[in-house]
Amino acid sequence: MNNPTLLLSELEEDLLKELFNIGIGKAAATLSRMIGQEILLSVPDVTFQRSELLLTNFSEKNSIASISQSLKGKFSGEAVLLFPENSSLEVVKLLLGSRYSDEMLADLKQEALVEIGNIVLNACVGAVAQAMNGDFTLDIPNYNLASSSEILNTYNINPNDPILLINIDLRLHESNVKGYLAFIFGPMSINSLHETLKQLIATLHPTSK
Amino acid sequence: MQTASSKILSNSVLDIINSAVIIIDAKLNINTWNNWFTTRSGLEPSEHTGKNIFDLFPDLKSTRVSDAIDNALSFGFPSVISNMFTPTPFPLYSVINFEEDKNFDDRIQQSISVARLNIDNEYYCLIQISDVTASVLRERTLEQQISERKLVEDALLKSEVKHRTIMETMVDGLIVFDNHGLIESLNPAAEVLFGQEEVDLLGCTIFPLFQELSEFNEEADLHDMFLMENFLGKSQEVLALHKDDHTFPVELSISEMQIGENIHYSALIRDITERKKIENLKNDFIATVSHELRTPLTSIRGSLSLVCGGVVPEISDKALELVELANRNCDRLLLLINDILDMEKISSGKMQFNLETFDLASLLKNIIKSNIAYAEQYAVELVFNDNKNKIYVSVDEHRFSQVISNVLSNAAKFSSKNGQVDIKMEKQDDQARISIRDHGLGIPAEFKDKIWKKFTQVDSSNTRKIGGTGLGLAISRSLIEAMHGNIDFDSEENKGTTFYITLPIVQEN
Repeated sequence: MNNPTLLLSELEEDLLKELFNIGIGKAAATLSRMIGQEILLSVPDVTFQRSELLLTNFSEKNSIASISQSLKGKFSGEAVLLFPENSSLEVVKLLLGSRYSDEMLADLKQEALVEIGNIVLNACVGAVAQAMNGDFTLDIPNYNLASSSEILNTYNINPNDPILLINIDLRLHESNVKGYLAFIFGPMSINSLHETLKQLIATLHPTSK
Repeated sequence: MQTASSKILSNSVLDIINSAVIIIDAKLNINTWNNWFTTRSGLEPSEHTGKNIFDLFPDLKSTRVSDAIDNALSFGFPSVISNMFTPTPFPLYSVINFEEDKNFDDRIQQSISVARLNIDNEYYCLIQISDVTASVLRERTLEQQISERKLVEDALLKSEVKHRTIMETMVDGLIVFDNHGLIESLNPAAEVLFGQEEVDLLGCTIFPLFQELSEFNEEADLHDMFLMENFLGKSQEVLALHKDDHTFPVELSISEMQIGENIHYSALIRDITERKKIENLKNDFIATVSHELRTPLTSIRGSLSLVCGGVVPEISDKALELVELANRNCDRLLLLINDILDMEKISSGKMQFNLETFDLASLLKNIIKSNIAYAEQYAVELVFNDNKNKIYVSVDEHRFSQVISNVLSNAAKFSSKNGQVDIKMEKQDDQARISIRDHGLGIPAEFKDKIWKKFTQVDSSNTRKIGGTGLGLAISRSLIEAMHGNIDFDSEENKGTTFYITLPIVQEN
C-alpha cells in the first residue's frame, strides 16, 4: 500500500477549488430560492490534512453539529458538513428568519440542518462527480451532535487519516458564518483521487503531466 | 432480485403505506402512485400514467422538488425536503376537507424524501410524502404560546422597570415591610434619610427607625396598632432616628396592601426638618412681637382704667364715652395677645402644666361661679346639674378653668336672651364627661370641621357684635389634650350646641 501523500499540487488544488465552488454555488442558488433571499456561499480554501487538524477549527468547549452522507463509487468515504454548534443555530436562524422563536428553533434545528447539509453535500459531490464522469452514489443524510473530542470517533476516523477539508463561508445580510466540508477517505480512495485528478488535469491541460 | 422487487412494489404494498408514494421514470413521466396520494390529491393514477409530472403539477417546476428529482435521476443522490422551507409543494388536502372549497392554506403540511430506484436496470425516481400537519399545528400552537408568554414577560418587565424607576427617583423615602415589620425593600432616598445602606436594613424591623414606633415589636398586630395610632392612610409627624443617633422630624404615612395571600405595608417618609425650622422661626417671631406689644398695652390699659374710674375729675361726658370705648378695645387686644402667646407656648411645648387631683364637682362649681357675672351680661343663666357623684380628675386648675370658662362664655354669648346653659357631669367607664349645653343658634353643618381652627368664628360679621379672638377653642382643645382629655361637640342648628369634655378619672389619694 502506498503511503498517500497529503500534498496537493497547485493545479490539483485549483481544480478542486473550482469544482467545489461550482457545487457550492449551486447549493447557494437552491438555498436562496428556498428562503427567497440571496445567500452567498463560497469556498476560499481546499486542503488535504491530517484529520486531527480539523479540530483546530473548533473550540473545545463548543460541540460540533454535523450532517453526513456516505459516498460510494470510484472512491468511497464520508462527506460531512460541520458547524460549531452555536453557528449551526445561527445558520438555521438566518435561513428561517424571524418566523420562529429561539425556543422553537432549538427544536427544529436538526431537521433544518439535515436539509441544508443534504443540499450542500449533494451539490458539491454532484459537481465533482460530473467533472470526473464518475458514478457516485450518496446515502441519505444523518445528523450528529458531538463534542470535538468525540467527533473523530463518531465518524470512525484515525487522527492520522487524511481528510480533504473545504472551508465554507456562508453570508446572508450582515452575517457571516463559517462551516467546514470534510471528505474522509480511506488510503485507497486517496490514491484513486490523486489519480483521477491527474487524468482530469491532463485532459484539461494536455501539456502538463 | 430486481425483478422480484418490482413485483413486490406492486400496488398492494404501496396502498397500505401511510404516506404518499409517487414513482416516475427517467423521462419524468408518472409510473404510478399509491392510494394515499389518490385520496388526498383527488387524481386517479390510471388517468395520469405516462404523463410528465411537471405537466401535471406545473407549480413544481424549478423548485426544491424538481432539484431533488434531478439529483436523484442524474446522480442517484437522495434528497430530504423538510416542511420548514417547503411546507406544501403538492396540492394535497385532508380527506375530510376534500369536498369543500379548497384553498392553499388547507393543504396538507408535507415532508418529502426523494431517491433513485434501480428496477430492472432502469432508473426511477421515488417520491415519498408524509403528512406532518399534526406536528406543524402543534408547533404553531407552541410557538403562539411562547410568543404570548414573551409578551406577558415583556409587559411585566416594563412595568417592573417603570415602578422601580419611580421608586428610585422619588425624593421621599419609601420602605416596604411585611406584617411583622420586617423590611423587604427601600429606595435610595430612604437610605440617605437614615444614613444606612439597603443591605444593612433588609430583614431588620422598621420600628427602631421611628421614635413613635420603637415600642412596637414583631409579635404586634400591625394593622390594629397602626389603626390605633392613626398611621394608616394618614400623614403623621414623627421623629425618625438617623444612624448617627440624631433624630429628625418626618411626615410618616403608612399604607396597607394585599399582595396574594400576604399583607405588606409601605411607609412613605418625608423629611420636614426645613419646614419645622421655618415654623419655629415664625412662632418665635409671633411670640417676640406679642411680648413687645403687651408691655406698652398693659400700661395704656392701666391709664385708661384709671380715667374711667374717675381719677381725673374734670372730664366731659363725651370724652369719658370715648375713653371707655378705648378701654374696651384695649381689653380685647390684650385678650388676643394673651391667646396668641398661649397658643405659641402650647405649640412649642413650653407651657407648664401643674397637674393635681381635684373633686370635679366642686371644681366646676367654682368655675361656674366665676362666670356668672359674665353670663349675666347676656342675661343667660348657668345651671349646674350636680348629681353628687364624687369624681376625681387630674388637671392643672388654672388651665382647666380656662377651658371650661371658654366653653361657658361661648355658650353664654351664643345663647338667646334669657336663655339657660346646662352643665352636667357624669361617669363613662373610666372617663369623666362634662357636657355644656346651650340653646342658641347652633353651629352650621358646613362649619363643623373648621371650628377647631385658629381665628375662626361662625360668621365673621358676628365678631364685632359678640367679640372674641377666634383662638379660644383651638387653645381649649390643645390644653385639654395636654391634660390627657378630649373635647368635642354636637350641634343642631337653631336648637343649640353641646360641648363634651372628657377626662380620665383618677383615684383620690
